[in-house]
Amino acid sequence: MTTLTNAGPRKGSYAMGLVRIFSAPEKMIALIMAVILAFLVVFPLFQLIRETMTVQPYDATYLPGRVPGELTSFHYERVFTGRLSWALFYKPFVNSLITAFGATVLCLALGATLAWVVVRTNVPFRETVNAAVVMPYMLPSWVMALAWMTFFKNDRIGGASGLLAYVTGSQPPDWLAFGAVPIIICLAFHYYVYSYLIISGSLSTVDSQLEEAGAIAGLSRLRQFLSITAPLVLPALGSAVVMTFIRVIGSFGTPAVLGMPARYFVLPTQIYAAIGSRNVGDGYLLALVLVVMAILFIWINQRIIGVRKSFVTMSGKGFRSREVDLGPFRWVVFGLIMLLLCFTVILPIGLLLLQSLSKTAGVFDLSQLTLHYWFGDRGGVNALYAGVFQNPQILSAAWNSLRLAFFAALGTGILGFLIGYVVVRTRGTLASRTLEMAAFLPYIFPAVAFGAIYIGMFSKSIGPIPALYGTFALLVLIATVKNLPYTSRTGIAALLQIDKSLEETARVQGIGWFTRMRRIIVPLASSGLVSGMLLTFIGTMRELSLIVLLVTPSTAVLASVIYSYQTDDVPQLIGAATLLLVALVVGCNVLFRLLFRNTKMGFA
Amino acid sequence: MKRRLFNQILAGSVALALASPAFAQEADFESWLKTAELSQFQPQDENWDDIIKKAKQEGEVTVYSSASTVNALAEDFQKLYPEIKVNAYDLGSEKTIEKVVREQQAGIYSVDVVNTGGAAQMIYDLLPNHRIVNYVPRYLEKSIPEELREPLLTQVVEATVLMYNADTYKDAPPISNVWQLTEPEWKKRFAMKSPLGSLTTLGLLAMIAEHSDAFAKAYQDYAGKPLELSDGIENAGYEFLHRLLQNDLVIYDSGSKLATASGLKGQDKPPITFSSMHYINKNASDDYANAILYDVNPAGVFAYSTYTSIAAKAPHPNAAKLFVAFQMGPKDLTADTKVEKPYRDGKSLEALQGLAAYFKVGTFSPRDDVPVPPGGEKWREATKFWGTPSYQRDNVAAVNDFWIIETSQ
Repeated sequence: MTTLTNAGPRKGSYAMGLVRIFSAPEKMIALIMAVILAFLVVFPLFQLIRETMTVQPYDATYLPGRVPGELTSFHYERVFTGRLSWALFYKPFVNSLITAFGATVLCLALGATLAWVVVRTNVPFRETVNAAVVMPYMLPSWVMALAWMTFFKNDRIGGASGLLAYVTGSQPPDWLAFGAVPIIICLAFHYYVYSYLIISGSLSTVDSQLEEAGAIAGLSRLRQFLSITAPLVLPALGSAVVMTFIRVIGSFGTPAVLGMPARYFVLPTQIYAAIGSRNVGDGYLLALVLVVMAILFIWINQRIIGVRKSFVTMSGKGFRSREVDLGPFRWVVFGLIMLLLCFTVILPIGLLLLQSLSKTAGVFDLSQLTLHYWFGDRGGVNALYAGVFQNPQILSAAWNSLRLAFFAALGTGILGFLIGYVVVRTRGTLASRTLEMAAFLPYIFPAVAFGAIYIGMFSKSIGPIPALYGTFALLVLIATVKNLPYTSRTGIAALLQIDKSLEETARVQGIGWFTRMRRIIVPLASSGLVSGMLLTFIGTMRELSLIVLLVTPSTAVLASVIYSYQTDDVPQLIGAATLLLVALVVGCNVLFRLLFRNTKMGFA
Repeated sequence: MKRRLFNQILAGSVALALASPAFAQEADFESWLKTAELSQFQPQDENWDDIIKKAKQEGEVTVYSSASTVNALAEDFQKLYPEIKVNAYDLGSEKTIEKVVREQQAGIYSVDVVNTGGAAQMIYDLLPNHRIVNYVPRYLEKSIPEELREPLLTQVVEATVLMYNADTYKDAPPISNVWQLTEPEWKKRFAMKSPLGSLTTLGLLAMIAEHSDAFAKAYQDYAGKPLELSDGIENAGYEFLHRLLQNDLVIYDSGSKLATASGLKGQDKPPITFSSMHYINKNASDDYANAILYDVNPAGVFAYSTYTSIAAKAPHPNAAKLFVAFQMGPKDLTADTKVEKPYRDGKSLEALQGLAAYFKVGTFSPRDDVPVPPGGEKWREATKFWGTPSYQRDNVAAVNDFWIIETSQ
């Protein structure tokens, strides 16, 4: 900075330009952000495309004599038209579509119903219900899958039996234990929270006077709903569908746990297998399919409902929300919601707890209870594995998880704020729009695919950046970038509310940029940002898909360690370690809320 | 899980040969070999007092390994040489190889000893590209068959075996010919690990394909007529796998789950599994009833090597030599040396040294002059199939594809 000041304007127009940039810091920040995003988000996408079109080292057996890096359509032929295409692509693709559509529909049905009940009816304990229905989101999505296994596991895979088989003595059928049905249900029980939050947010802005107007005009209840309420909520429904679908189709943990035993493969598990066996050409191409699908989905959504993105339904006039009286049914509805909570939160946690306390996996007998998997030392009940609190692997992974989540939250907080600042201050320009879009781009990368790209990108040094493969920094980097859409969005929203004049006044008084930020902008924007950071924190704590390809023994986090216990078949430790993870997530969440009590929390 | 082997093949060699280090680096490598007295510079008469002295001066040794046993190995080494700090990393085979390659590509030379399976990659990629060096202490040359020390020293021989439940089948093994597994009786009752992501399992499949003649003959013995290959199936080995999959072979993602599946006592119809042989030791720790199908036509034991080597430009070459020698066992050990439990303590540890951590059924020393662990008496006579590294190199990709196609039918 000093050198630039010293350079002064006399160095001609080039230096003048620099000076101008520095007198308007948002331009410089915009430039820096553009470079960062281009490198971390746009470049990977091109990298991904390029790798699918070039010869990879793995291909040598198929393409003798071809040099890695040469252009080839080999992967496209292999994946889309070759004799392997059915196995590699079409079948997993169809499976992915089935589970993703199934789960999305179920999510929407659940979320929308709940939203309507909570916002528009007189169901008892509305506040509590509102807080409780988002609980499943705090748990890692594959907790449901593990709980499902504990309950429905049958003798197709040997070893310990599931609770159902243990209690009833008869084996649940394969279709109930593994494959599409359980995957859809487990994913839906986790991701319905998206549509609940989006739709309830939108519903609460619909003035019921509009419906009453409809009633006066002689419309039936159904017609009122179809021609007044539904169209108003439609844009929210659209984004709920898009968000849910993209997340669900890119998720790895649940299909991996529940699909494999029945040979039910989906795209993310195929990507994992391909990259795990070093066949990156195929793996990246499958990842690209997921990216394209996400883009397509967003595009369709915008074409269908995006034109009417929002409606002005809030005005200065009185706003009224009429409660639908459920009558005696309100308790039935309440009971149903409690039942849902039992299935999505209490039962999974209970099963995991039970599992963590059993001496022999699959034997759910009171005399068999042990605390070994919590506090036991190696050589006790299980000679190979020490309990959670004696197990250096788990403890260091827990510490890594916390560190990773903290740094990622910090990273996204800072980047999100700066991007928000630049986007808002340069509003209306092409740069502003481009930056906003680039910051949203990580959302369309399915997590597994994103991890796959980063492996390729950072396994060699790029310019001044050393090879990051296997380092903790790489995990922080990818978690930060992947979560950027949340904080940049909350950042933009927060900064939009701060009028430019506040800053201009300060500037006129000669107050420098950093001071303006520190004293005015950051304090005003903080509440929005903190909520985005909290989301990143929670999301990163329980993230598996994103980092499963990137972790090494020394950088393992809780989620990846739990996944490895899943393959090592130590169900008790899975139970205990997962509960530890849940406790950490919930604990940190409570702590955050206490620390930032005034912050209105959003969601992801 | 242990050693997820490679998968990658000639592939790597072509790539790496092209990107291979410039001449200057070659010269560097040569001069390192010379100072380290390795490869062509390894003296006919190794002065072990001198090596130990230098190793202690180096004070440290870093080991990448495909198996968690390396931790026990490191502990034992430090009992004997407390002056030398061991940094042992249990990385699994795939990551071991990948880490060595990636680090060296980035110009980082931090590892000394590399222990892993993955014949195709180790022998056809890392070795010719000077990422590792074969080192056989001279005193071992007579007691290890040539194919187990050239071109790369085998640290331990391991095996994938057919396991059955000896609690359910008390009198005799349930099958005597592998083709019985393709019959309806064994539908859904044969299990193995997924080869996608497990190079050991992929290697096993390649071995089956490689020994197709033996499988064809076994079928003739069993059915009394020649085997008819299904459409598009290349040989009897593939046909065997094809029929197993048609018989609803159950795929697992983990080896220890397999051991439980076939070994858990009190089952009416326990499955037979392809398991890593060392899981037989779970019989003692978990009270399982696994037994090995030693006498099955054509074979129930599929053996493979886990190799050991010194990494190129290892920063502690003498400590590396000492570590390799330690893990192969001392010079004065004989087949009659009496060792007692616990092997990793006192006199037994002194006698066995680095073999102590592996002194159990399923991980056998390639040396023919060392004692056999109790329960492993049958090992030396049992019919064993071995895979040829070059066959694996040329065929694992095809086997991998075959598996992908067949499992999605």
